[in-house]
Amino acid sequence: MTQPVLEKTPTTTALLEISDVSVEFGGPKRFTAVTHGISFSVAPGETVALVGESGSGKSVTAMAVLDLLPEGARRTGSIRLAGEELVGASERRMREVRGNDVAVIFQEPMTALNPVYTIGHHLVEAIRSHRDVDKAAARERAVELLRQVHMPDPEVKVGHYPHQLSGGQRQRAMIAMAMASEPQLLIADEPTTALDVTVQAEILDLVRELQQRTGMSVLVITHDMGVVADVADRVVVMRDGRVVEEAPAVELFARPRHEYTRALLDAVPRLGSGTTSSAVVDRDATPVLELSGVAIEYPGSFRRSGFRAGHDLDIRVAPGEIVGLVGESGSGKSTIGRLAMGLLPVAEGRMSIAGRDVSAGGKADLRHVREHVSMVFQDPASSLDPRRTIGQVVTDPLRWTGKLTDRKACRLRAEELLDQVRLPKAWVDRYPHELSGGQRQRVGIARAMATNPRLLVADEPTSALDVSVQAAVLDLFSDLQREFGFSCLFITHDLSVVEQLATSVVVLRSGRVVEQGTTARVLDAPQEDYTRRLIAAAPVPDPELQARRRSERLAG
Amino acid sequence: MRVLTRLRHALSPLRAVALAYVGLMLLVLLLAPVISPHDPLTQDVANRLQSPGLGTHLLGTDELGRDILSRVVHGARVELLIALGATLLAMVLGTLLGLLGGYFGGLVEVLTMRVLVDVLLAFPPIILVLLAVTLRGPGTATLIVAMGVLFAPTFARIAYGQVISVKRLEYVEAATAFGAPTRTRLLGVILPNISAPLIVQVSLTIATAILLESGLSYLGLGVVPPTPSWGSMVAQGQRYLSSDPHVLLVPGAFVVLTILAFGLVGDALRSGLDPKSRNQR
Repeated sequence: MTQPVLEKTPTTTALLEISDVSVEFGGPKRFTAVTHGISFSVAPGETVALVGESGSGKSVTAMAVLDLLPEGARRTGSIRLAGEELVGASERRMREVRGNDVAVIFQEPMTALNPVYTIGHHLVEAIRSHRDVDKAAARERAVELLRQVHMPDPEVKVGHYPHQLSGGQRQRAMIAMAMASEPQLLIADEPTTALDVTVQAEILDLVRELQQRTGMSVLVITHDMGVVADVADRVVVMRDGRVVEEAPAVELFARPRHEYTRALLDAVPRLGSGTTSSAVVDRDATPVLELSGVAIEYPGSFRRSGFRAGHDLDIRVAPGEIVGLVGESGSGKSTIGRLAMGLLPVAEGRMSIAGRDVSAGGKADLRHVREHVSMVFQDPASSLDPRRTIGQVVTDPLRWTGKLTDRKACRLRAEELLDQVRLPKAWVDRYPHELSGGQRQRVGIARAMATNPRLLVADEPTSALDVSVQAAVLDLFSDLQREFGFSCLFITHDLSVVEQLATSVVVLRSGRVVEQGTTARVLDAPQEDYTRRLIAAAPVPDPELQARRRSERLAG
Repeated sequence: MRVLTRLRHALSPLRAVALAYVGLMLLVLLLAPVISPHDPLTQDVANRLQSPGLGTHLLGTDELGRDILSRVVHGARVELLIALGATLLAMVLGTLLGLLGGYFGGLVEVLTMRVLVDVLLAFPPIILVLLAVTLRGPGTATLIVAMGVLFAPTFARIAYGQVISVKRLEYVEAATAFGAPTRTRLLGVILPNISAPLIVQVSLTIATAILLESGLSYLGLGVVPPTPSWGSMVAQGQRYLSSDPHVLLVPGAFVVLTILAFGLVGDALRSGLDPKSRNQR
């Protein structure tokens, strides 16, 4: 692979030229602008990344190019594709543009593919819509396209339905569909957000390879600075519907000019920046959580046998220790969290919590678990009951276990808890939907703290949040841990978060422990191949380092 | 409160009129003896079959000289009492079955949703009520219980579907994780979150109940005469359709208006309680 051409100045020959584009949403009376006068361009063969946090207007801007805006939205300004003005173009012309000149891939391929048709059907449809070929020829071309996107066994996979493919394969199929028309421009809307890191790396490699072979331009929309560093030639940073900075990728990462870009880059947890964990660990004391030879099974019914999601697990969490559980989807990391919380039974082996064997899972055992273990869930938008005020939510654990029943005492405790997570006390009567994502997760943490737990299970608590918010929540989390000294089982797919927070790491794959040890040891000197691959695949916000790692990865 | 704002948005002029009508009907239900101008049972054969008009009988008299307005007012009372009672019973019964079946699944689901609900749905509604009336004899209590049981499956199905989708959500799992007892999870966490479609169904069921009760009374299987009921008034008025149509048309109009009003209020609730459909009219 050759090094990407990094310096490219936008010229009049730009393939896509967006100038002064605003997208407005409106009702019958007036329109409200969500983006304001966006201007940037994409040169032929160039990859431009549109970066920003949620609500920055990055997706809306990209969709404006294809006029794929939600109902009630309109675009103003000028969007020129190879010199042709698209704002005001007829619907018919836009359809041609979408089918031939510009292709799109979306974040979640499962929802973009029709579940009742095979991958081949999708492809044949796409091929025949812009090329006059018969079905057999189209099918041949479909297999050829699948081969180009490195789909394993393309002759077989062409007859598969979307649900029969893995997430990465589905995204490959989507890319194959996009490539069917040999587009000049590929718009990729968070193409790897739903994928595991190792798969993400493969997909990004593929996009890069196709681009070099066909010479198309790519417009990537992402919130992930690692992805930006990996693929982009030029970066457009957006915030609140405005472009705050535009620069070649290398320059942007080395010398960010705008304050917001700097803040965004600083907020990205970087692998290799050392640990900030200052947890005081007492390894000789009775462990807070001890799993020995544990197997976990999701119970089946009388027709179906159960599914085994964990095998032979040995994990210890000492008092005050933060253990990072890392692995890709399906590795069983969340399953272990649910086991520790008493939501799943121990199928085999022994689990003890704060010195008491709770493997039997009787009523008294569960009470013991609830008393000592608490949990922060992944998505605060769905883990907080929308019908309860946050004052109720944070004290629910106390009321439900009968520890606190008095109304007034509950309210006082709620205020105290909100104060601990640095939310205004007066918010006890607010509802979750009135809060932002980061604030909601603070409520989730406050709820977990309500019972003064010995062990906190945190299941990807920051993966649903924007990077800048994520950093603040992680800071809060470390502060609380220091202050209250609870142990923690921190479940995440993000190695840099683990490095920052955890004292030791457990790497999981397919329900088995691959490797465990202190954070420094596992991340700096991984013993297992899988751990090494995981570390290598994690994107870092540094284009030069990323390019070096790419060539190593492709060579190896 | 956002819910109130949304409900106000969902209220078109037509729906507002419907809501006002429903309010009026509920008032009539409470105040029937006070506001009805005459005794609904007093016969005055000398003044039989009077046309509506300004005078002592605003809406005229029937073939026995009874004041139609008074009969309509008292009929409304019986009608609404049965409809509300049956709907309330159906809601409690159905929601409970749906909650249990949806939450526990397995054998409980078979017992609640399959054995009780599906078997009930397999019976034609009229036949079921006829059966109850035949066994117990016509009367208000019989009708309430029979129609309550008859309408319960609809609520059960709605609740069941909602529970299935809500129980997998993280906040329900969170409730389990934080030690909420099963009763709290069902009634304190899940029920408030599935209540919107059930509330909508209440107003629609009331409309259906009024229609069914009128039908049964028309057939002589509903409220026992001489207690006035809209259905039986329509049945009696039938004989005088060509000469004195008001005897039939007045109670008939009330049946239609009331059903329409409850249906419209149901629509208003449906779009008002659904956060996704703002401003839909």
